[in-house]
Amino acid sequence: MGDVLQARDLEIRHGTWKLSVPLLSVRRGEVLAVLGPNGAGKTSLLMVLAGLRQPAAGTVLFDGVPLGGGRHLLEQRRRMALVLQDGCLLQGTVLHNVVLPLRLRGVPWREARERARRWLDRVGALHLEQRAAGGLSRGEVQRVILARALVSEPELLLLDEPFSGLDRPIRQELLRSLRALLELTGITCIFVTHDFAEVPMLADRVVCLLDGRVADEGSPWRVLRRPRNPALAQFLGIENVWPVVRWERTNHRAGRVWLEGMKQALKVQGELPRWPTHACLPADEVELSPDPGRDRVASANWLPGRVTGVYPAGEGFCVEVSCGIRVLGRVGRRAVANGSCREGAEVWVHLPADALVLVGDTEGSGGARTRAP
Amino acid sequence: MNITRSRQLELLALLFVLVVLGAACRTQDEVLLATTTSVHDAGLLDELLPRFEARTGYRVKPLVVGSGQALALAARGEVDVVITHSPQDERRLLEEGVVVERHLVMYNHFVLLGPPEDPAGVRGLSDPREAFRRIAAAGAIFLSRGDSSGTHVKEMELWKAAGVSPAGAWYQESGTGMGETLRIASEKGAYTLADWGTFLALRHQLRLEPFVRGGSMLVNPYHVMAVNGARFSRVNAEGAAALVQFLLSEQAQAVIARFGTRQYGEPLFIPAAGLTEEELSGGGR
Amino acid sequence: MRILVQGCRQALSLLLAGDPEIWEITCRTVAVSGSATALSVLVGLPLGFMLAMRPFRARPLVVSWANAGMGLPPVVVGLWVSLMLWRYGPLGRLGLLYTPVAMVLAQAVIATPLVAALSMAGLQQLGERVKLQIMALGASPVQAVWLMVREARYSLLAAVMAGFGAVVSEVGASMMVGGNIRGHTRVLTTATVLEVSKGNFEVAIALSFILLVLAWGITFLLTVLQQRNYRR
Repeated sequence: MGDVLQARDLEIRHGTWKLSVPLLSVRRGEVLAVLGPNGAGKTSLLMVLAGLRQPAAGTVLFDGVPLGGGRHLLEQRRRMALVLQDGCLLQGTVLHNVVLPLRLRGVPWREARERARRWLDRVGALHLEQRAAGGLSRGEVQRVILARALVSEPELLLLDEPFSGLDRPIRQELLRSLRALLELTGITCIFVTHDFAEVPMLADRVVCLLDGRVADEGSPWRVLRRPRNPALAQFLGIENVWPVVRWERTNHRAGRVWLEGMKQALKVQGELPRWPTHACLPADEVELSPDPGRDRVASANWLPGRVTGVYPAGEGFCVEVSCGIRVLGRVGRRAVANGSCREGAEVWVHLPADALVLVGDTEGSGGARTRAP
Repeated sequence: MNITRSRQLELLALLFVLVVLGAACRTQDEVLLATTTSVHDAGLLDELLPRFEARTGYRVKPLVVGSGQALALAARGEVDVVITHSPQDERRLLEEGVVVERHLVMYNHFVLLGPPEDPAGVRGLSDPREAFRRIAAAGAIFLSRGDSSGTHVKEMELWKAAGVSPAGAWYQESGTGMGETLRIASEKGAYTLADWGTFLALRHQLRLEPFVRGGSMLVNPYHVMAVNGARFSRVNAEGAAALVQFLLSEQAQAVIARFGTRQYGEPLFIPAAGLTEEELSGGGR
Repeated sequence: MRILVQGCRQALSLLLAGDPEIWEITCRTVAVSGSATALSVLVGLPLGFMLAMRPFRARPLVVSWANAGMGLPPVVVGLWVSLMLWRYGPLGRLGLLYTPVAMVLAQAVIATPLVAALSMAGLQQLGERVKLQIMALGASPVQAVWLMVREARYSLLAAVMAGFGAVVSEVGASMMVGGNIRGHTRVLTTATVLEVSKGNFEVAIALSFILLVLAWGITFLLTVLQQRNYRR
C-alpha cells in the first residue's frame, strides 16, 4: 500500500528560523515518530501536515492528493485527527465533547452518540460520559481527548507531544492504552515528541529533527542506539562522546580506535561508519571496578583511572573518572556508601567493545578530512 | 452545531429594528411643536393636544425646551410650531421671515418670589424695578435661570430697567428649567423671578413667598407662531397652520380659561386670542 | 423626610395599581434600549471578533477607539446624532429626529464600543489555543466562529448586558435626540428627570424604582452567569 501522507521539499519559516524537510512519508498502518528537542519545529511541521499552516515551500500529499485550499482542504482535514500538545476540552459534558467532531462532520445526533460512547468505552472513560469537562483530572482529560480524536475514525492521526506534562505513571498507562488502540485499529499515526523514551514504545520508524534539518531517520533502535553524529548522540542523552584520533578496521564488523588523550587503543565491535569521528557510550554501559583482575583487564577495554567526581543522578550516582579521557559511569548507592567510588579513589573502568558506537560527522563522511586509518 | 438557531436569532433582531424604524418613519402627519417648560409641565398641553389630534388627525410631538432654544429651533426650520414667551426675540423672527404667523394665545404674570424672611425688604412693593434695586443693594441671593428662556429674558429686561447690572456672589444662575430653579431658590432661600403658573403648581413644595406680582411690567404673554413653510421645505406648514388655528379657536381658549381652576382655585393662564400686546400691557391683573 | 416617606408610599401604590403610563414608559424603555443593544451586538460582536482573531495593520488604532468609546459621554453622542438627524442635517431627509429610531441609533452608538471591546476581551481570553483546538476538530470557518461564540458565551453575554445596562440608564442622549415626547419617546430616565422638574416626586420615585429593578436585574443576571462561568 502507498503512502498515506508524503511531504516533499518542505520549508517552514518563522522569522529567521527555518526547517527543511526534503522528504517525509508515512505508509498506511505505520506509526512514525518525529523526535527532536524543544524548538526544533516539530509542532510547526505537524501543523503543516495537518493543513492548518502554510509551508514557505514544498507540497504535502494526503492520499496522493496535494493538500488544497478552501472546501477541498476542509474535506481532507476532516479525514485526519489532530491532538494538540496543550489540547483542551470545550465547555459541556464529556459526551458532548466526543460527539463534537462527528457533529461537525454532519453525523446525525443518535449515531454520533452511539459512536462516541463506543470510543469512550475503548479509552476506558465511558463512566465519565455525563461529567462536565471542567471537572476532570488531567489523566481523564487526556483519555477523553484521545477518544475525541479517534471517534471520527480518521485515516491519519497526528499527535503533538500527546502526554507531555503528565506524571510518569499516568503517562506510561496512557502510552500503553494508545499503543493498544493503534494496534487494534491499525490507524496510521504520526506523533511528535521530545522524549526519546516514548519512541520505542510506539513507533515503527523515527525521524529525528535537529538544527532545522532531518538529522536521522530509521528504526527506533538504530536511531536511538547508533546515532549518526555527535550532536544527535548528545541530544539522545548519550553521556560519553569522545573524539577519535585514529582508527583501523580489523574485519568488517570489528576494529580499533585511538581516542584523543589516550595512548591505548580500544576494541570496537559492530557496524563501523566509513569515516568515524567520535566514539559514544551511554553511561549505564560503563562498568567500574576497584580491581577487575589481570585476565579480564588484558582481554577487554579496561582502563585505570581516578575518580574525580561523584554526583547523585536519578536512582543512583554518576561517577566521573579521569583515565586520559573523561568517562562518565553510573553506580548504585552501595558502591558509593562502601567508599569504593569516593572522590580520589583509584578505579578501573570498562568500556565494552560491543556497546561502544563509532559515529561519523555527516559532513565528514565525504572524505574531506584525511585521518589515516 | 445549532447554526440555524443563531441565524434565526439574528434575523429576529434585525426584524425588530426594522419594525421600529418603519413604525417611526411616518412624518407627514406629524407636527413638531417646540414650547416652554411653563406651558408643558403644568399639563396644559396634555389637555389641548389630544383634542386637536382627535379633530384633525395630526399627531403633535411637543418638544419641551426653553424659549431661547425653541426659537433657535424655529430659526433653523427644525420645528413647525413654537409657543414661547419671549416677545422681543419673537418679533425679530417675524421680521426675519422665519415665522409667518404670530398670535397671542394666552398670558399670565411673572412674580418675584423670595424667602419668607425677606432679607431685602421687598414685601409690599408694587414696582419690580424698586424690588430688584433693593435685592442688589442688600446683596441678597438672587437665582437666575440663566438659560435665555422667556423668564430669563424678562429678568434681564427688569435688571436693565432697574439700572442694575447684576453681578457678584449674590447673583447666581441655575441653568435649569423653571421648576428646578424654584426648588433651588427654595432650598437656598434666594429671590427669583418665576411665571405665576409654575409657581402655583409647585407652591406647596416650596418655601417661597410671592412679593411682587401683577402690573404691566410683569405681564407674561405667550405667542404661538407657525414656521415659514415657504422658507423651509421640510416644515409641515399645513399642520402648523392647523395647530395655530386650533389654539386660537373658542374650544381651545375655553380649555385654557378652565385649566387649573379645579386644582389651584384659579386659572394658570388667561386666554388672550384676538388681543394685541399693547392691549395687554394696558390692562393687567 | 415627610416627602421621602410619603413619596415612597405613593410610588408603591402607583406601581401596584399598574399605572398605564408608567408601564407604557417601561415597555418603551425596554424596547428602545433592547433594539439599541441588538443593533450594537450586530455591529459590535463581529467587530470584537475581528479585533480578537485577525491581526491587521490598523488594529491597535481600532482597539484604542473601542476602548476609548467605552467611556463615550452620552451627551456627546446625543449632540452628534442630533446634528446628523436635524431636518437640515446630512440625514434630515429621513425625518428621524425626535423618534424612537433616533434614540435607538444614539444608544446603539453608545453601546457598540462597549460590546466590541468587551467581546474582544472575552474572545481573546479564550486565546489562540482554543481556536486551534476547534480547527483541529475539523470545524469549517463558520462552525469555528459558532463554536468560539459558544465557548465565550458568558463573556459575550456579559458584554451584551453591559451594553444594555449602559443605554437603559443613560439620559443625555435620549433626551437630546428623543425630545422626551409623551407617548412617543419618553423613557424611564427622561421621564424621571421631567417628573422631578415638575415636582411629581412620587411618580419620579416610582420610575426610579423600576430603573433600579432593571439595573439590579441585569447585574444579578451577570453575577449568576459569571459565577456559573467560574464554577465551570
